[in-house]
Amino acid sequence: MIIIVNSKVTDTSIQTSLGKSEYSYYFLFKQFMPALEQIARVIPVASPDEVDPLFHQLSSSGESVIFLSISPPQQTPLHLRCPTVCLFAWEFPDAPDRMWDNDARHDWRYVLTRITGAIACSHESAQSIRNLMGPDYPVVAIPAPVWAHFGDLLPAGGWQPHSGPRSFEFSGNIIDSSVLGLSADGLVQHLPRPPRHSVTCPVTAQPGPWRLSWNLFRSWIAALRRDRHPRVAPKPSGEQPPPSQAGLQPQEKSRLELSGVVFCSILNPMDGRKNWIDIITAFCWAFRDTPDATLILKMTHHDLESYRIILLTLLSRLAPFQCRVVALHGFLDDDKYRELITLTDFYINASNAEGLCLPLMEFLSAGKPALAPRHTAMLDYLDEDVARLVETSEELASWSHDPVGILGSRRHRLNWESLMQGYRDCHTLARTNPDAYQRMSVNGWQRMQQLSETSVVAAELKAFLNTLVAAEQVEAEA
Amino acid sequence: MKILVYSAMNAETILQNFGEPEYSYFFVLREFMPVLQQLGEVEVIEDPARDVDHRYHAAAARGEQCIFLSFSPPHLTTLGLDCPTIPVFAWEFSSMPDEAWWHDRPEMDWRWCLEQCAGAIVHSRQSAMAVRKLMGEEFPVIDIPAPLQDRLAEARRWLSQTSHTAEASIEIARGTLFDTHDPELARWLPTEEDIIRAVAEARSVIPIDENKGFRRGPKTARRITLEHLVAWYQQVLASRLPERLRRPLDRWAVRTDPWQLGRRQLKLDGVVFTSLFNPHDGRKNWVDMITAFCVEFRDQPDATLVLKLGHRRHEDALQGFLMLLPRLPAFRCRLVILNGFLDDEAYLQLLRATHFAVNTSYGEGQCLPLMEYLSCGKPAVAPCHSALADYISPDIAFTVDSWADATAWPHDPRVAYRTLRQQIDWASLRRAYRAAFECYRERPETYRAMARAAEQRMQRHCSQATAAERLAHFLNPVIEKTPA
Repeated sequence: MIIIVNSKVTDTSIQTSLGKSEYSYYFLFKQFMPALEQIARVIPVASPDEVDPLFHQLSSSGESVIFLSISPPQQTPLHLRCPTVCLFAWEFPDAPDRMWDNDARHDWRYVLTRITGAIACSHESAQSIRNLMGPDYPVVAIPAPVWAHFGDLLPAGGWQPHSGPRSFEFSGNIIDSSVLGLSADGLVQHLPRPPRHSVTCPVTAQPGPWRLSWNLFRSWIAALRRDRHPRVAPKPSGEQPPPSQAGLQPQEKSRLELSGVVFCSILNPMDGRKNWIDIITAFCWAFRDTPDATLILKMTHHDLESYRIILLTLLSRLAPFQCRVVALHGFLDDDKYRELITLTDFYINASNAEGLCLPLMEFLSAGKPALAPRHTAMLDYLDEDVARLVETSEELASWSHDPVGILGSRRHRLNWESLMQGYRDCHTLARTNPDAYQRMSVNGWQRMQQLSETSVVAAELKAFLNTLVAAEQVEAEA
Repeated sequence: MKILVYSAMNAETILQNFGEPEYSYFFVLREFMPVLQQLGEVEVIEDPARDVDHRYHAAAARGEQCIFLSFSPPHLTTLGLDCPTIPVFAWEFSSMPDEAWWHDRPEMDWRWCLEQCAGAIVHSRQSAMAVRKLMGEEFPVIDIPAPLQDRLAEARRWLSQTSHTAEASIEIARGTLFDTHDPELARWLPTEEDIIRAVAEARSVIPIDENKGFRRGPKTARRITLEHLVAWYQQVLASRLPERLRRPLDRWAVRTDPWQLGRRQLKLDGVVFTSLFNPHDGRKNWVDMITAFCVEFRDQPDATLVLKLGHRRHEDALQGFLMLLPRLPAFRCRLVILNGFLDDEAYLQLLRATHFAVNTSYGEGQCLPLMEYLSCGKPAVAPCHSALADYISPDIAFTVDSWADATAWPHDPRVAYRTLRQQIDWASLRRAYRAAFECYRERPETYRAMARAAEQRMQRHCSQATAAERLAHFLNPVIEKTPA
């Protein structure tokens, strides 16, 4: 079999795409590659325009050819001669069945009837496609084969919680709560003070009919005139202090000394699903008086200024706290990433919904237990054996790319109290029950092996694609 | 005993300042008044700094005991008086302010205030506990809910005399009304373009433009003129016209500009859920209240949710509500958004038409409207947290689950995370709505038992007898400690 694949992002463009919606598709592309290569000859193409010429050229040899578009359905190329399969991640329980922006492809039914089949990354999203297209639609749930890349990190017998100091060398921007001199009071010193006592409200006489009429007449004239003056938003009161410079200067090979229990999360702060505010507030609340707890947030967004002041303000609003929050902004190569996994004790996820969550799967593959909710894609691999689960409850949501924001879908409202308590439970587990921690570590590693070992994923891909190819041939012969 | 009382608003100013932060303190004072009058001679003070000590010394000279009850939060209570001062205040969070963020404003730290007070009166056990945590176990504090139960005796009598099956028609003298079963409503909803803009602004995809979007863009001269004509009609002309002329003009005014306060009429049927609240109070969580209702009863045209709002700046609030409606999946249940001040008659009519009182707040200091409805035998759909935990239970309410969530004290400009509120479990709110609906429809006996239990609960919780006993018990030692 020959598989032609495309991805909108390439190795060279990934740096500037960090944090944009298509960037996670680059990682999917990268992760699936080894499994695809086990079952077929894989030919990457930069543009869909190259697909059909290649298809004609290759299919003359008699070998079956499939085009795998690693992209959401609405961005999948249609009307190709080459049988097309769409591989995508989706975090909602239902799939779009409306069009918008005058683009029929936003209605996934339009796309899915015009392609050969679809591969969703989770069982929930595969089911959403069956609900949309009927039970016989060729769709399958196959997770990204991440285990092979990180499974080798697990030491014999599984990880023990760290106890001693560790250090991590990082090049990029660092926002480290332990050196910022954070103060909540500092946020408001410039503000004007409110009145000291409650002011007794003066009685104003109810105006009579003539006064009311005169007032309305004046208001009418003013309204007619104001047509020419645009409205402006009220300016913030008081003289604004200059913005903080903290974290603005990138550091070369800066050495972070870490100790105690280290929690880590990798997220794009502009991705609303990730609830990074809750991740930080629950952490600082749980460990207000606990110095041996550190939260590392590796931010995956190309623009530091999109979140820097928000983060600094948030930390100030939480100060004082004894624990430590470190935000890292910059590129981690594979070795640095593996090092970060190694020094972490727990991976944190507090999302409303996930299509897959590669970093969580990667940390689990390396044998690092998690603190995370069990919903959407996480249903496929998380339970009490591998994670401290965070409670959630269903709420309304709109599909993330629906411009009208129709609240027709669902997501999962995070139980903050449960997240906060979960942090404390994890800390206690690491401190007092290393054996249980170690069991979780091995369980996570095994779970991910069963789910996402490359050969397992390759076999699933092969079985699915073979049925598609066979069906295509039957159709062609008929 | 002489009891001096103060609240920032009084009966004359309350109407003009409808919905402002201090306004609920006036209502609480009003409820306490009869009980205070049983205990001593009550005098309302206009300016505490000027008037309290003057009266206190005069009373002391006569050998009479005197105490000052300030219906205000501690940081807004006049301190440094000779007269023993007790703030009476509502609080809905797990902890009270124990820091001052400005050196020149020590009163932001409530310890600083309460140390100068003879004690504190709050309205819930949670608040009393928070005061003790702040001031120590010895500090004189008591929780007394506003004793409003007796005032509603006449309402209960009236309700028992009229049948629930009678079609209720509610006459609102001055208000606005938006009703999802009104075919005209579509004319006043935001367009898809407005919504796309608002959603993009909320997602920070585009910057907020104050001159574009739902009811923000410039109006034509014709529209401005029409709106002023309607305003003139509603404010000046309408009440001076004979009924014969008024009826068609009322219809014209509402069709031309429903945003202007005027006479409205509301007919309710089906199973009616009602919530009374101030739409600018972020704690009330009206988004969950509406979304859970409209999703749960999407195929239930005979389920009605009435939101009775009270705020003089009603337009901003209403815009928020109307922005939400078109984003909800199609629903057949009925949502009525009623804004305005109800006179006694209209209040009773709404009460009679209601089957359940609804609350979906993040926290309550006591929640007067809910206590009123329960006192009149209307079971609730409500969470069981903060002050609600003192009276909500499964025998009088369909309870909604909640969990703790970090937040800031409401008057803290730092918005520093220092205390906990309660986030609502949306799925459980849906279940509670459904259970209430089915209970009323299918188990009328259970419904009636809940109604009776609610009346009885509130009699224990917020009757004048309960309050008088607790207040006397609390005030006596406080008074004895102070020189008369």
